[in-house]
Amino acid sequence: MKKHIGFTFLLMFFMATLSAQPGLTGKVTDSETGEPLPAATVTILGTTSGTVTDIDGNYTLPVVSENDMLEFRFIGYVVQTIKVGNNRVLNVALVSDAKILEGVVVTAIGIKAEKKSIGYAAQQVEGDELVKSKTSNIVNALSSKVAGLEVISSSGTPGASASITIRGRSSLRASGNSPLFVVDGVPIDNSYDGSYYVDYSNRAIDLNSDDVESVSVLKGAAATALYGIRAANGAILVTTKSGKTGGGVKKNITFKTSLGVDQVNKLPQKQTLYSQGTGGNYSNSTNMSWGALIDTLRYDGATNYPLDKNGRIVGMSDPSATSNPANVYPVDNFFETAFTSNTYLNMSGSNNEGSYFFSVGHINQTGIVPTTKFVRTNVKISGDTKLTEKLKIAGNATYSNSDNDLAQKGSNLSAVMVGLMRNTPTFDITNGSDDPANDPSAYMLPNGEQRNYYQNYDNPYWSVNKNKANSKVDRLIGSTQIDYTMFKWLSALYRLGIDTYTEKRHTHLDNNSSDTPNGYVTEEVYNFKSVNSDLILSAEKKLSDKLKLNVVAGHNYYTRNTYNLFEQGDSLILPNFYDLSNTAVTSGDDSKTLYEIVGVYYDIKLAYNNYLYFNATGRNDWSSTLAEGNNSFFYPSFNLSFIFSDAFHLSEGSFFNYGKIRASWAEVGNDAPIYSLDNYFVAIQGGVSGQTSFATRRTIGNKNLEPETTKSTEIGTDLRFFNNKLSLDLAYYWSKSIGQIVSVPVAYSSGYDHILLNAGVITNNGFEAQVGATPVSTGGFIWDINFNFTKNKNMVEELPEGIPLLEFETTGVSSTRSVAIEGQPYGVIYGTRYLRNEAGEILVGNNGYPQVDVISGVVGDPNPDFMLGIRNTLSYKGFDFSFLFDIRQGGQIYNGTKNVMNSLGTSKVTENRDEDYIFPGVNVNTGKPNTVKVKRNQAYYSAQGGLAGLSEAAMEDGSYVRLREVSLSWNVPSKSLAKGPVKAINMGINFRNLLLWSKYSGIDPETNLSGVSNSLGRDYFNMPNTRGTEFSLQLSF
Amino acid sequence: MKARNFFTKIAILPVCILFLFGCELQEANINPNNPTKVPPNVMLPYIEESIARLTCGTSQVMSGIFVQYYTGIDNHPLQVQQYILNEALYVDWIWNDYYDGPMINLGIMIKEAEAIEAFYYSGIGKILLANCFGNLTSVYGGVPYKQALEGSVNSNPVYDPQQEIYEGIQQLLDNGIEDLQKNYDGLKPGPDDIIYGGNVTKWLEAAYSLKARYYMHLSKRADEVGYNPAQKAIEAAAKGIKSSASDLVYNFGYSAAEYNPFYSYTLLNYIIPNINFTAMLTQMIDPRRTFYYKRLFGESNLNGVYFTSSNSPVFFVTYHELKLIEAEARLRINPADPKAQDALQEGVRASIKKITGTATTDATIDAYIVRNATLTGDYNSDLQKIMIQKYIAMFSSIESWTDYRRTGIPQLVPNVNGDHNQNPGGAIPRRFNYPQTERLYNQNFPEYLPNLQDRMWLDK
Repeated sequence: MKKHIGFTFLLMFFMATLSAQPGLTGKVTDSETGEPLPAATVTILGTTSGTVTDIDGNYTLPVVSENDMLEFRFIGYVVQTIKVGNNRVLNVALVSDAKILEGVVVTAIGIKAEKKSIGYAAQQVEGDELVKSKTSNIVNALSSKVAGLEVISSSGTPGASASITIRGRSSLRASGNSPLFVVDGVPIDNSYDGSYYVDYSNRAIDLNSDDVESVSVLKGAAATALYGIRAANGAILVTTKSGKTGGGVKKNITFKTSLGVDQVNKLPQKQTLYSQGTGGNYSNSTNMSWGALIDTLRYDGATNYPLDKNGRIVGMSDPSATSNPANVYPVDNFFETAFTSNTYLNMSGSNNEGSYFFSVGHINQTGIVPTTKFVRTNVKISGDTKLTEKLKIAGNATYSNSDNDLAQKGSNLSAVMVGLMRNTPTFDITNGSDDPANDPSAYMLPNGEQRNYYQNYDNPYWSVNKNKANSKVDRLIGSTQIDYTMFKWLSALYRLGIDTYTEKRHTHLDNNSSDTPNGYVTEEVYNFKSVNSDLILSAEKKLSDKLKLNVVAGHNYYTRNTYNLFEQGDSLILPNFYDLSNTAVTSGDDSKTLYEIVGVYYDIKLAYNNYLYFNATGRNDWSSTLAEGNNSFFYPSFNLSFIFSDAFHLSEGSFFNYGKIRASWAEVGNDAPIYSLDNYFVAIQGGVSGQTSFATRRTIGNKNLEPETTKSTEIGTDLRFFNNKLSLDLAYYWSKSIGQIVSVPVAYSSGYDHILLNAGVITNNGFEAQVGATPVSTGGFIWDINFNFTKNKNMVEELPEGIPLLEFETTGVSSTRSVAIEGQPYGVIYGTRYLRNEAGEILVGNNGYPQVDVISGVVGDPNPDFMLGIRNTLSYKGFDFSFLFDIRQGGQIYNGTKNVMNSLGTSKVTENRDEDYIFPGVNVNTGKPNTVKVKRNQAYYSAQGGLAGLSEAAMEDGSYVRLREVSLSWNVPSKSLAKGPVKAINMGINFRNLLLWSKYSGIDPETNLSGVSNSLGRDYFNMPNTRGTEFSLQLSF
Repeated sequence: MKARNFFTKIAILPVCILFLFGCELQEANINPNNPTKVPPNVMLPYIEESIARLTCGTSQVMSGIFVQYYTGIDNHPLQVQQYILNEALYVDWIWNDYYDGPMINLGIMIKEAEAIEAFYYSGIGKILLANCFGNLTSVYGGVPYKQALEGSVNSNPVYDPQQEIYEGIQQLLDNGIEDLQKNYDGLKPGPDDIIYGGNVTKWLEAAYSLKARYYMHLSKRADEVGYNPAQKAIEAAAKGIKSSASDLVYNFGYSAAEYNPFYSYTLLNYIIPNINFTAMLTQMIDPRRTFYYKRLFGESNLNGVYFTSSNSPVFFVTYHELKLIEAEARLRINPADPKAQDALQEGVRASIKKITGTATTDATIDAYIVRNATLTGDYNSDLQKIMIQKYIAMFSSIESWTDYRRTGIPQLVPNVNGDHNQNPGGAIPRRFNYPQTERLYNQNFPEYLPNLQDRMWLDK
């Protein structure tokens, strides 16, 4: 500012000579501080006349007319244009550039753009907002905060995976719907490799939300077209915290610590009236609880009965019966209170030449399931400096280390929920122990065998002690960057980023576990390395007063190497010793992959008069996974933004402040999965009887695969009213994915099960709204409400000829699967149904029970009708109170847990087993309404399809309303801190999932058996979710 | 040095992209993990083992419930017990696992063996393929045969009538026999032939034994096939397996990891021995009964005995089966043929020795035979005797279901809860339904969806 001072005095002198004449006067100030802005220029638009403000920010214009437009400019502040009107005095508060930064979003390839200039939807979430979620997985932290974004957490266990999709699912591939994750310009891996029995996390969990400054969500294809092949599903751009160069010497230290507790939030209800047994009689050798009424049973008092300290259960009239009645044992107390501690420290400093940033974070979580845990440590360091005025270098590196102990879940005999929910009410899984999770007498008999109610299902305490999985990850994400300004109008940037990690997985099942009585140990090492290189040239040119051109041209090279080494040892020799050396046979395999992609791209922006923006991009990619001739493809995109409120000067009044319309069109795509072109032979792991052996892969390769494409069109508007107190951002989009590379099932009689083809058309149409309002802003009290509304409708328009149904790569519960069917929404659930007549009435047999259709069909749609996130924030004098409602309407869930519990007679509803019931429906022979009174007994439920049951009978509405987050924080008044070294203190309490309203009869309906996959809406002994409370303290120095 | 290479690579990239990336990218897509072509000798071990898995797999559980070897008490077998067959479970698995398991690999191995003139491999391949088709058609009826296993060339294979499939099976066996009789110098099976170690004579005997079995399947259709199946069976049996030592048997348990899948299945206790079957063996004082099942906590249990231990064998075709086929065939041709009783008694003796080993003395066997395997000259009661002995000797095998459908022996009382839309009338099912994958993905899937009482050609 110093260099302006002389000039200012000169102008003041000049002004003084003019100020004698009457005209317009006023003062120019900083909008935030109210301080005067000296030497700001004031120009009458369309003329050469004008003035500058004096040292107190005052100005005078001698001659003005009512229709003159005045432009106020000051360096570092936003230009304002105001009509003179009747004013004789016109005071203007300019908004500093720092404020505008809020209006800047990070777009593809890390290009920062003014929000108003972009013609597509991009929504930013600040780091503070993520941290309020109190979750270790950044994906969960985004839940219900962004319109168009769907997050489904697979459970509430530590390190649980969460899936994220933007604007619906469009790819038929298992991993095809995840958005691209980019951290500070470096694409990172967020892959998921869990299963239906162990839920390993998605790898974005390695990021520390505390290190995140903001997340920019690029939704449509137009937003991500510059990423070409890899961002067909949108992109999540994470900007991490860093020191801020410029603005003099600054130093900052922040220390944060929090302690949280979690409890299980919802469980299926179990019956408490009937004992283990069948046909109304007690028996201890069945998995069923269709036995006698428990209050008719007594213990015999035997002290040597290993399954119950009270003795054997006998009928009350049995000669050996004591007067001691049989107990009912609840299992809910299996779930413990879980603790999370999170400690975070960051230090940063900067001056005008450079900056540095250092942070370390440590999170330590125990689970509601005993023995589970997630521990993660993150260390980040970054810095940047100007070597010369033209050359700037920057670098950053984040190391993360995590250790996750997991329990068995889902469709699996060792699954914790299987053991709990199938357990009969008359069996005590704790064996009377106060600390059963750590007391072997609860789950193990003196001879080392398992103590469980039925040999097929592991006692959950056995399972958490003896059947374990562990994942350890060491990960490094880093980049170096050189910025060089060649000319005033031309600059270059080179960025080299790396994302590399090693994951070590260990699983074991001990001897005497139900699934594998001889036990096994597996050891797996997965090594991932990706390198991303970007060379970007940017040029800026003012073509005329009003027309500005920006051109970016870039080159990108990306390579990914993976190596997997798997070793399995079968048949444990000694119990309790889980090492490969302790197994009778070992076998193993390894697998290497290499993927490369090269792209060149451009981005052209034309800005007219700061209110009309046109942007065209193009990218050509060459991918290694497609055959020569098919491996090159070009993706164009166009978008337009028009600030009509500026163009037509509509924003003067206080009612309407800002209006923008935008439109975009883009085409993006995807290449083939690796090694898809040929037919391969696969080695049989461990050989066969000592012989090496191979068998053909069951999927037929295809050399003619072409890249798949998604075309999408979007229109939207951004409107602000009442002095910006009400804002609306609306978007409507249509997207169509064609020529998807899909593994299409073929008749097995052809000898194979799938063939890779370009096939299928899927459309996604949707509407998104973000509404922000400040209903009250007075006397230091501010109340903000934000709505994020998402409605997406997807439709499978076309499948390959002759393929009525495409089954997803679904694991577990083969009776009830997620499929794509022409004319149906994506991922409908397909399974066994009631037999119905043409009118849709259920056909009931002469025996009074509904009949089952021998042909499966669609039984439900897991896609929600709409989702709505509502956040209220109330601030008053350092207090911030906010709460977030998450509403999900529609979307059905297959409650397989319920079906099995019904068939085993452990669910609460089976307490009505002796009541007469008339099934709705018509008699299969007469067509007349069924009138036969029957009982919903053991035979009924087993005829309903055995264990996994009739799929249709298990379909339930998955709608919910939840109070996802509540947070209260208090900033200690700065006055009271003035003298100490502490600059600021913030104390807070956060609640997660505090309340949940749902008709779903099982666990929390936000659940998924298949983790991060394209299969949705299935619950089969999934782990329950949690409700949590956290106290936090933050100190800034 | 590696790192330096890497950075060099990055540095020259801008140049690279203009000229080189095309070929570099192609190199990246060469799969280092999986070959695109393998010789027959590494395919045969998997093929033999996978047929063994399927032979003692789900089809035997289902047919075993139908012919009342077992009772389903849990999980899917509980449904099967009520003759409810989910098109996506069990029936789907059996079909799919045969076609995309051993059968496609047999198709590939036979072609490759013929191309390199390794005729023993093509011969063994054809014999095993015939066995697979026999196992499939006898439970599903018409299945894709002529157009099957062509991959992307024809992914909608037409269903052939069962009669043509049986002709095809005999043809495959004849071709296999022909291949095995060729002299050549090329690749020959050795230890990779896990069953016979490359012994061609044994393979030839096994082929003739299978011929006898599949002729006998058609005993009801003598009118239509233009020959007497029993006569053909006797002729084939004459060249068949000569002793139990030459049985076509796959032995599991090479290592603790390669356990018999029926061992782990029976551990789950989804099925238990059928009470009628156990009563029959008890009444006959059959020495095999403690080898077929055991008592555990006062209840019958299938696990851990002859067919259900981790190292249990799986029978593809055996000497005792062949002898019992011969007995039936001889009886059918001439009820007075004394060789019918000889064959029956030899079959029973071989079965008991095979199953019980040295645990049963010859005297016990002789006494058993006198009680239960002595023919009277009355055709009906003799057929009953032979078929009951075959039913016991073939415990667990799907062949017993085919025998039941051909002869009505043993007489079975169906489950009272088995009368429903899928199994009208509630009698013992006569077939499996077709799998969901075929209904959905084969455009040549038959229009008529059979119920479980619709009889296939051999059963009419």
